[in-house]
Amino acid sequence: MIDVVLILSATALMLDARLRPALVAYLTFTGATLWLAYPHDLSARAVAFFLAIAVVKLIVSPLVIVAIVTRYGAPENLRASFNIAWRITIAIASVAIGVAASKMEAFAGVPMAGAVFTALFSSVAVVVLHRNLIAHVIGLLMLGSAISLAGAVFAPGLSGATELADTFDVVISSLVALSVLRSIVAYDPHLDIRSLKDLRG
Amino acid sequence: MNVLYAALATPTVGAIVASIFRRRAIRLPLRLGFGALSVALAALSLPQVDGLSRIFFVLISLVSFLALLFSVSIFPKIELADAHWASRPAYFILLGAFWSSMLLTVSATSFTWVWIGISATTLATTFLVGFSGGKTALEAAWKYLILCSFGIAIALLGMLLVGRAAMGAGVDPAQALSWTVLVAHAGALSPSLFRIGLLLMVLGFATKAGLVPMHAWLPDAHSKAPSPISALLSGLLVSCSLYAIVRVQSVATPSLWPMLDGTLLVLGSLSVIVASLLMLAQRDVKRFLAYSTIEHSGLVAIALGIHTPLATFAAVYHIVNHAFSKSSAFLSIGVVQYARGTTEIAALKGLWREGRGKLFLASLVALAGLPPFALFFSEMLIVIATAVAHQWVVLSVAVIALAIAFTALTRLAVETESGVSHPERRASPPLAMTAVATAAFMALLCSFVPFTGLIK
Repeated sequence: MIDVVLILSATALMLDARLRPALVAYLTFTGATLWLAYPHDLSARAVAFFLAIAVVKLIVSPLVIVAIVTRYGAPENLRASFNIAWRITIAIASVAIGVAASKMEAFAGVPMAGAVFTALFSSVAVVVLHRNLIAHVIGLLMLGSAISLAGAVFAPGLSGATELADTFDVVISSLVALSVLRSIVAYDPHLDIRSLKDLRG
Repeated sequence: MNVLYAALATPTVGAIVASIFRRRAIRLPLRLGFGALSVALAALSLPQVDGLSRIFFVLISLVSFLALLFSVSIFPKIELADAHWASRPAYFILLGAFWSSMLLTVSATSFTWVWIGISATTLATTFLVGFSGGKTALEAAWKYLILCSFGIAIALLGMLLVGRAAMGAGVDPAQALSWTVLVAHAGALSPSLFRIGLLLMVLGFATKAGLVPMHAWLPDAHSKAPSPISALLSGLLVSCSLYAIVRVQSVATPSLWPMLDGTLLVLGSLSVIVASLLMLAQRDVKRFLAYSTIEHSGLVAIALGIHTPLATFAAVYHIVNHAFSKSSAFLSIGVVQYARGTTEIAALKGLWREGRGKLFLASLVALAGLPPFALFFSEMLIVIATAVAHQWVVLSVAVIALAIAFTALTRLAVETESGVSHPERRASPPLAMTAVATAAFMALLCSFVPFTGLIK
């Protein structure tokens, strides 16, 4: 059931270009991955890392996104890069590739492998399918969630250092990205990826 | 306290401590003093790391110190705009954090800490790339952050799969990503899982090494960052990522070599040819040098893909030589930018008449792979190793790419060095010139250093 919630929320993020529904879908997606990635050993270290990730993803990042949009008047349209037909095709392809990847010999017998790969491909698709930089932050956050889920599914007993790596990934993708985003929005309130083309020399 | 830990912490802690003092007369010697202490501690901690890490420890310490020397002499204030983190103390603290995280990467004995080290470099360098606060610099920082975050996330996924394979073979989870343990148990690991894990790790680290087609962040980041940071990104960060690939390759079983080596040969060949062609089309010197970095990174990938003892030696030797040559080039163009306020090729004429122009020319000669600079020897070794391995297609691509890059470098040298010199805006600060000259001298000195013993 929870993997269905995960796939549905990921699909909503790929298809919907409105910020508020996207944030709701993001919170659902992240909640589902955190539910699945909840540490089994319940050691103080594992729980501390898990809580740090949960607070940053579920509370800090969405609040900062809303604050940036409110304060700088950034658009609530995530600006789809493709028309709806293409987005539906890419969303179906992401889920199909995720399921196909989970059927590989290496992952035979691993429960939830399909959900992990779907989450990974969906996070990349969210970045590709939108031109608004806020969507890219959401995509990065989704990728971090997908990696946390991959850790819980593929290597549940791996050492604490990997949990640290996972936490680090979240910090970079959320806090650093949001910090740079705050500076960019002062120049370009539209936060449109097209302006990156100016860089090409 | 363990000397190794002190060596890792000192660059960051020193920068923080120096930033507490407001008076320049105290702050400047403190910054340089902590920098020198970092180099000394790194030298003292060499016995605690293996031969390969030792080479990178020395390289990172020396080049980072030169970048620090340059930065205290010419702080990138001329480019400073209004990024909310842009301030003098923040710059030096981020520089120290970058230095520390690179040392962490090469001192680790497990992939987890290599990954954390490389990720920590992203943390510091994203802000440094966007330090000027200009629109293009911020966008370069964004592109760098997004692409490299995806790259290192892929590497992390690969590590998780390798960890699963190791635990499946009965390895203690705490040791599952240590390369000595992985080598010892390589035969017992699930081949399919191990193969996918290692491949993802190579692709992830290759993104940070700027290999084509994952290179899109590199030209923007290297050209928009302050010059000393460009020197570190080009000379060291790319090298640290290539170091990670060497470590990944070292744990692979012989049955997995064809897949990994083939991947590196394809990425390397694509990188050298695409980068050398794009070098011909550049209008900005720093962007030109950034594409040159991709070309050299590709050459190293080719050498690693050849995967013979001679080729691996040539790869590491080339990394070292490139680090010094490219640092010299970026630092010298930094002095030129300080004096003339531009890095556009069309606006730079008559550099030959100035001391900094002569140093820039020396670094271009080094990058072109001409003797007596050490890059000549490492490029020759890579070509010889490729020929000995009968990789004729790769050899042809590499030789054509080297010829194109040579043409582009010659054209750049002629365009910038000849002609009438513009009236000078500023004199070159002696400390900055010392940093440039030392980097160029090191690029020359490496021709005579017996690296074979160190590698062993």
